Amino acid sequence: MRISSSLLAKNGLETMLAQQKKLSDIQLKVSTGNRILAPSDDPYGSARSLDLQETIRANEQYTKNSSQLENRLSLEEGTLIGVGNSLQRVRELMISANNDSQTIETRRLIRSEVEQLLQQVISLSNTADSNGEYIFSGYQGKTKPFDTDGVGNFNYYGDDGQRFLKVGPSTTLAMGDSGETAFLAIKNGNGKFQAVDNPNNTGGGIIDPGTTFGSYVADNYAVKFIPPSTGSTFDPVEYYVLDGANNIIVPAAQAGITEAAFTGGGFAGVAYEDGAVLQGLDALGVKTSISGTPAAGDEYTISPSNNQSMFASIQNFIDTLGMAQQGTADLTEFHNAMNRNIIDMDQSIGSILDVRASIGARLNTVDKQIEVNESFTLQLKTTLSEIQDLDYSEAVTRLNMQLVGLQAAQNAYTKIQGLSLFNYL
Amino acid sequence: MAGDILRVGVSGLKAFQRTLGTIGHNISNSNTDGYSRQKVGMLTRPATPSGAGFMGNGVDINSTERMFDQNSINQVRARLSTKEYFSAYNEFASQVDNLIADADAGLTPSIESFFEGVQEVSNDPTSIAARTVMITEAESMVNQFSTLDSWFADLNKAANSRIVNQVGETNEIAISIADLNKEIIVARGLGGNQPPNDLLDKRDLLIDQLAEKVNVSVVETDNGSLDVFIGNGQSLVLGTKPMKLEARPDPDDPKIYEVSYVDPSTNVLSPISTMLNGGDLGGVLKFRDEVLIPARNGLGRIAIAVANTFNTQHRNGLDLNSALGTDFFNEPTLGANESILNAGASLITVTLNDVQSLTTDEYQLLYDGVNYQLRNEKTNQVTTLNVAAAGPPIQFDPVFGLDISLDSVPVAGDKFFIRPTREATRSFSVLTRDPSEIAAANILKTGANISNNLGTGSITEATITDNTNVDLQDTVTITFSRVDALGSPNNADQYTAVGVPSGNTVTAAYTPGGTLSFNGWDVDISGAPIVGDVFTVERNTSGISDNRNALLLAGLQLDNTMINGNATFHDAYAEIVVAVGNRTSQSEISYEAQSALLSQAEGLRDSISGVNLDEEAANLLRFQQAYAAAAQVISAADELFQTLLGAVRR
Repeated sequence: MRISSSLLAKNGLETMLAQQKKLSDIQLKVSTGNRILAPSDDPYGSARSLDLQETIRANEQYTKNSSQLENRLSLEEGTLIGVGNSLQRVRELMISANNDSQTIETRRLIRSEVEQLLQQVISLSNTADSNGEYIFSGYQGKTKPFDTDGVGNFNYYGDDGQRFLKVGPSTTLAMGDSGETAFLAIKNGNGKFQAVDNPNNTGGGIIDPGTTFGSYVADNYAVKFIPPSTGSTFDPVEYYVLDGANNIIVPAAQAGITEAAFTGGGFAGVAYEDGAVLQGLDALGVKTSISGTPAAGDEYTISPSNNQSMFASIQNFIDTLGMAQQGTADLTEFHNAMNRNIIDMDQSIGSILDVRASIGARLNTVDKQIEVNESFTLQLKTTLSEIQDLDYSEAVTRLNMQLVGLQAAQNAYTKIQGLSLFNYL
Repeated sequence: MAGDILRVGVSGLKAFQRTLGTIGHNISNSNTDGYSRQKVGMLTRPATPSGAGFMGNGVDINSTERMFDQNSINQVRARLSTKEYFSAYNEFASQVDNLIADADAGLTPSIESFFEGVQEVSNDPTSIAARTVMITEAESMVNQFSTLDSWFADLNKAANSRIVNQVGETNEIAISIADLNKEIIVARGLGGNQPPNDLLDKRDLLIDQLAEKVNVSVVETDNGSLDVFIGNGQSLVLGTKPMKLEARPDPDDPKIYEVSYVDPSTNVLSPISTMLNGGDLGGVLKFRDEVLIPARNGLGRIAIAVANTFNTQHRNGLDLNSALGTDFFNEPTLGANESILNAGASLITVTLNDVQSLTTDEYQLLYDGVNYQLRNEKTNQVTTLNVAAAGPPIQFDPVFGLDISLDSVPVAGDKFFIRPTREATRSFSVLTRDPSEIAAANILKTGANISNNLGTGSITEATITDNTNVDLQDTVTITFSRVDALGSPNNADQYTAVGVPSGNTVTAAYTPGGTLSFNGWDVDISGAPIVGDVFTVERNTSGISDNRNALLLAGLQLDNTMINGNATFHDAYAEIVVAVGNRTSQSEISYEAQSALLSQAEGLRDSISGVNLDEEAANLLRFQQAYAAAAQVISAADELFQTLLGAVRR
């Protein structure tokens, strides 16, 4: 085939230009370190790398969220430790206040310390974070959660809101707990029921806070003491038990028998035995006992537990310390109240421990999540680097080859262009 | 006798002189574009018969031939058209390609930054600083959308002016070809039907230049003129008469230019853009259809989706002032317009019905007097619209995520153009300027009455299902009771929800974990509530630390809110990136392949038509020697004559 001289020159030039274009392409890749300069270099690779970059940024945000969560949870935990310590001190004071060796004078001293402790717990429950946001007021972050209403009542002004943060693609964790959960929603008594003496009792019977036994049937039970049906003295006494609808359940219900049958004196109740488990109630899941010397006409109620705030529990203690402590009836009432206070305080301490356990679990989860996020991010970055980063050794080899190619093309061009028959004419 | 020799010698001299002249012409034009090598045709003169046989009379020149092969010329032209097509396509597409996934100029980093801002608000909803950052990030995201969009608009303008220029040049080339046709006819007459070689080269060169702009085909006529056809057979040059193309705004779509053929007799314009599938013009037109408009529509669709989904969720929240969330973004207007040719005056309105079903396609609504038909401009698929309300206004059942309505009945044959996404980005903006107006909290909060409740029942947060419900913000008290006389008397089996102030009431049997749907919200209640237990759902007034709505807003980033619930905003953008990347890389590969094919075709053509200087040098030597030899013949004839004269003188 004939070759025209201009085509020969043009082809030579075009090869050189093409080599130069490739060279500049590689040069750009080498100098940026990127394998993909524009999506057309690798359309799916570039979409994938956009994807990975998004996930990496999302992960970094999760890690950021996690550390924010950690800060907030640590603050909450620290606060609750403080509250727990105060409650523990209150409980110690309860035990010693309950001791008969205490006098009115020493109990007054205890009372003033407890008042201090109550203030301390209130101020801890009103803890705010560095932004001035109260940590125990639920969603109402700028509302002081625990405060008096101006007419002497102590109220909760927050709500049950709980803020969640996203710490992983599918993990959200609560950033705190509302004051309602931590301080208010605490069952009194033993958590199922509360055993209460009647303030008008005249005897020396002290009721045990009790425990549940089997499945508890929630109802308001009343234990009433009557004179014995046999013998002439009032001591020992007998008792019977009513349910919420005033049906006699102890001794076993009998047709036609009403409460009047006992009060009239003719009908036999259950003989009282000091410290023995109250009969008939254990079948309903209630296991408690009365000890000491109840008098005929004394009454005790066993009713389902209510929610009682830990502030109310402390306040009850303060109020109890202020009660009259003269004579058997007063002292019995005092000890019964103290027993209730102690078990209520156990519930409060238990509640704080529960919340702290849940915080601990969340802190563990967030620690693990941070680790997972970090290793995931590392993995993603490795993959991203595989997709978009240049393999330098390969690229430099190619750069060299391209350089050699261009030099060869240039050489060939000058050599070929120098060849002409006219040179010999 | 010596006269004969002299004549024979002179004939050689003349022929070789002419040949050497042609070699000179070839050498001089060896670098002239479009030049075809010429060759002198020589023929022996008729011989003189004699008794001793035919006596040779020397040489004659019968032609100066232009060396060419029409087939390879045509092949070069076809390759040229294809190569220029991909060259223009790639030139424009690579501009989109370079920008669209750029770490600074691309869209995804700004979307990510915005949603990080939302997460920061959810981390610390009371912080004005975090809220301010979120608004700033929103503005910079919108800014990024509009930067990309205005840049797409600029590319559209660049394509328009490229079309205008190319059409102008095409028209000029057509005139030049017609002029050359005229000159060639005249020259052939003057030259006794010998081809006017250099004029033919010039004309072929012009046709090559034309082929760079559009795909052409040529037909030679008897008088030597060429008829040139473009597109689908529209004549651009007929003999000595040039026709005209015109570039003008598309009457159906005024922001883009189209190419029309001007009918020479009636001056009527008929659009031929779709028929131009070669050359620079074809490449630019195809780029616009395949890359620019789809990419811009894709961007617009993301803007619509971000604004719509974010606003919907934002309206489900409460802001720092405990006011209901308003629109955070201005929702883009969807583009629709009436054809200027419509006989009727009916106006079209298109609004968003469902962002998930929204496509990036564009549609034509046609009214034939009976039916309303929606034709997809890309696929030509026709959907007959169902009239939902005969109106006026006439409303149609939602289609492709769009609510379409016409304010009056159009005249049969009227057309409407629906381009919902193309310019959507233009009206995308941030409406919320006040950081406290970011609705990070949920409208409602739920709770149990803890001082009263004895059971273990618990209530979930309220999910807002209809933020337009007028009673949404009622305080609703849910009280548990018991109807069944059997079983444990305290365990509730029924509840009654009462809303205040609306007075809405519902009583339902209680199943643990069941859902209560009321006043535009849903809650689930589980556990074992006791008779008399009370739960409330109420307005979350002053719930400024609540981040539930902010979390939901932040979650939109990874929600599949687009493309029939299959794609996130990011996925939708990646779809554009992949499409543009693929088109660009394909056009680049095709361009390179076509360049190679063109070189081959040129090589083939030039193997016949091209000048090879070595060949010319060799010929130069050959004919110089022949010339010298012919001169020697004359000198021999002279010597013969002198010898004869000397003999006679003696």
